[in-house]
Amino acid sequence: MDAFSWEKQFRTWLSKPDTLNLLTRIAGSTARGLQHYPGLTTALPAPIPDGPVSEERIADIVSELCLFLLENRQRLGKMPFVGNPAAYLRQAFLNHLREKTRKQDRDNFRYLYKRVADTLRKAADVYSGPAGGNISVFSLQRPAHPIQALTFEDFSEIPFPVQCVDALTYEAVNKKKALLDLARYFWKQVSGLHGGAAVEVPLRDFVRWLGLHIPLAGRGDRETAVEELPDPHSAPDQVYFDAAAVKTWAHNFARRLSPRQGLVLVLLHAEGLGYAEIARQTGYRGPSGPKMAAKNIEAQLRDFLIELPWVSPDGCRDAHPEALGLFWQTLLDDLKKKRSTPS
Amino acid sequence: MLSRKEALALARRYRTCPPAAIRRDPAHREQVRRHLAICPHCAAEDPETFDAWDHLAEQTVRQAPPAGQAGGGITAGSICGLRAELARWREGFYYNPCAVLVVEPIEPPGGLFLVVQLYHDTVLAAPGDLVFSPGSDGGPEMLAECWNRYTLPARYLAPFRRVPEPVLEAVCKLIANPRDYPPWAPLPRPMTTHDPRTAFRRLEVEVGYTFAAAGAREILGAAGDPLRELDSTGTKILKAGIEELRAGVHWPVRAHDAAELLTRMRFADGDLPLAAADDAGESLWAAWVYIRDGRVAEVRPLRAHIFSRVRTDDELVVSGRVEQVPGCPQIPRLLACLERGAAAPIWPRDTHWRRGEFLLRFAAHGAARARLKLTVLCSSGEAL
Repeated sequence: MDAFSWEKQFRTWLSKPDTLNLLTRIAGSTARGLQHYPGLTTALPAPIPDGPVSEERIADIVSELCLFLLENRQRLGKMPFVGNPAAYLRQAFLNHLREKTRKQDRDNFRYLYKRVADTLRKAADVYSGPAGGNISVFSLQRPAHPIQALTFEDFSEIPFPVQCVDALTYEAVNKKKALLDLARYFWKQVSGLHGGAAVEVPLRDFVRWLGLHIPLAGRGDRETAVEELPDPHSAPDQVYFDAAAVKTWAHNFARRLSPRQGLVLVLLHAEGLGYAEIARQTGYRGPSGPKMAAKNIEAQLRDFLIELPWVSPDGCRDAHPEALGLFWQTLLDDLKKKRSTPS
Repeated sequence: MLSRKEALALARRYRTCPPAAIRRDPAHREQVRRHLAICPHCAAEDPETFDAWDHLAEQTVRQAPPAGQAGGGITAGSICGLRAELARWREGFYYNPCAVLVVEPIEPPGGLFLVVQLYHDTVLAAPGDLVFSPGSDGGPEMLAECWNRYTLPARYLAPFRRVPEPVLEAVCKLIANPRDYPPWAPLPRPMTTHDPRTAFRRLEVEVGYTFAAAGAREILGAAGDPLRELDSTGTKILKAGIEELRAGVHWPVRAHDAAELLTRMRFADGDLPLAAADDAGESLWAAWVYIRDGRVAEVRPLRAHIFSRVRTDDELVVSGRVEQVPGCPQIPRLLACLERGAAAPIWPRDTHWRRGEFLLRFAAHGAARARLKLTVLCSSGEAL
């Protein structure tokens, strides 16, 4: 069966009443879950209020889910391999919503992409052209190595060189000299991220990075660059945090610790004791015992938190201080309770 | 925009959370309860929602275009899924079978294969990983973890499709030299501080270990336990056989069985080659013992290096590598213990051993001033 026929079959499947029922069931429960994530609902046409969810809002999520399945059907088709596809699919959909909250205006993005491609093609010191997978790339050196698409973390490590433009506006950036200076700067930064290697930078990533720093949606309504610098805490998924989820994570982590590990943590962080005293109270021979235990707990904790939103750094953004504070408080409270409860 | 942090959360769920069928199965109730108590992703999940997602995932997979044709037999270059029945619980997590790329068959032909682990989200690629497209027609990319390789029996593997020849060549080159990328392969960004990819690698090691350890137990079982054969020979005869082959070998304390005899023997100082003076880190002398027809045929020292010793509250975890393990018709076995003078040695709770590299987990009690002893044991009816 060719790709076109598969596409048709997939669409037919999506429009069947049974499929729609299934998607509506999922959308209903997702909507209830999203009430805890107000930041993510900015990816939908309208916010989801507290309380019962209306049919319109559920229909919004069903549409978004269909779009997500259609856009990702090839990637999702790799799931039959093995593993836990349901968990993967659910998390992938939440990530899809999260990504949408960061997306830029599509039309201006496309326009700027074409403008950048034309400008780089005419520049004498820039090599540009198509690469594998129908993407355009550019480089300041030859030969150059292809690289992976840049991630949110990579972008957040490349500051915008305000000195390259008169103002941080679409008009100021959309000039041949500014675009060339910015492209050269961006290439050097990306090369630096790859240990100074000669790399082929995807054009798409360069324009995405521009879009993080200049308003692609509005044009020329701000004057100074300083005013336009993005606030690292302004992304919708970073302003809010789900306190219930953060508390649950703290309970989860507390249950991973042995009673002795829990006691070391409480004595160290809640009671502020020194290692010698902790050793005495926990039965270690000397202070190096609890010191090593604390180090191991710290490594365990870092591994636990690293993939969770709000409670660990996200690219260059620090963890949400209130979320992290709540996590610690809940964890220590749990451990203190455990300590006072005879096993 | 892609995020490594989000990709890591996805990977963790995909690899170590139980699917809906397992969550519903009463036989797994206790394990599921334990998992829900410690997993940050599953804890808040309501079971009805999870079932609906499971159904959608199943339907989506059924509706998606086929990713390739089954490749017939297993050969170098086959992409295989590990069979579903290999999924298993370990320390509160449900290890779902992963996909692997077969690098080379290992003797006996058709029985064992050296594989590298695969993952489908290339956002998590790091140096040493090869990002490739499984079909010559392009299509979704995957990453081959050339650093994460192990041996599996053929019956664990369900062939799915084959990779193009240049991909297999590139994997072999990256195994030999993690920097040797072909010009067509994307160059992954080096690791950074607090990089989510570091946590992903730890996760992938655990996944590989889970299945490789099960495979190793099966392989050893099938090959017959050389130790059991030696025990039936009797320690006196075994000791005499070793002394005959290697003058100066001695035992500071009396050994009670073959395992103790093999791990606690000492080579004469003059018998040990001078170690390189610039050795970084901790190193020790291990022993190589080769058994032919139930008798000791070769004994010699091998250099071993310790990569890490991590002590937790109740466990001591030691990892390292035995250098230049000789070729052997059977998979060699690693015997390890912590020696405490004349007291009984501490044997590991868990031994992970593949291609010279080892990871040993000992109970921490009494391990404080103990000395690590290693012996690589290989048994075969064939001549070396």
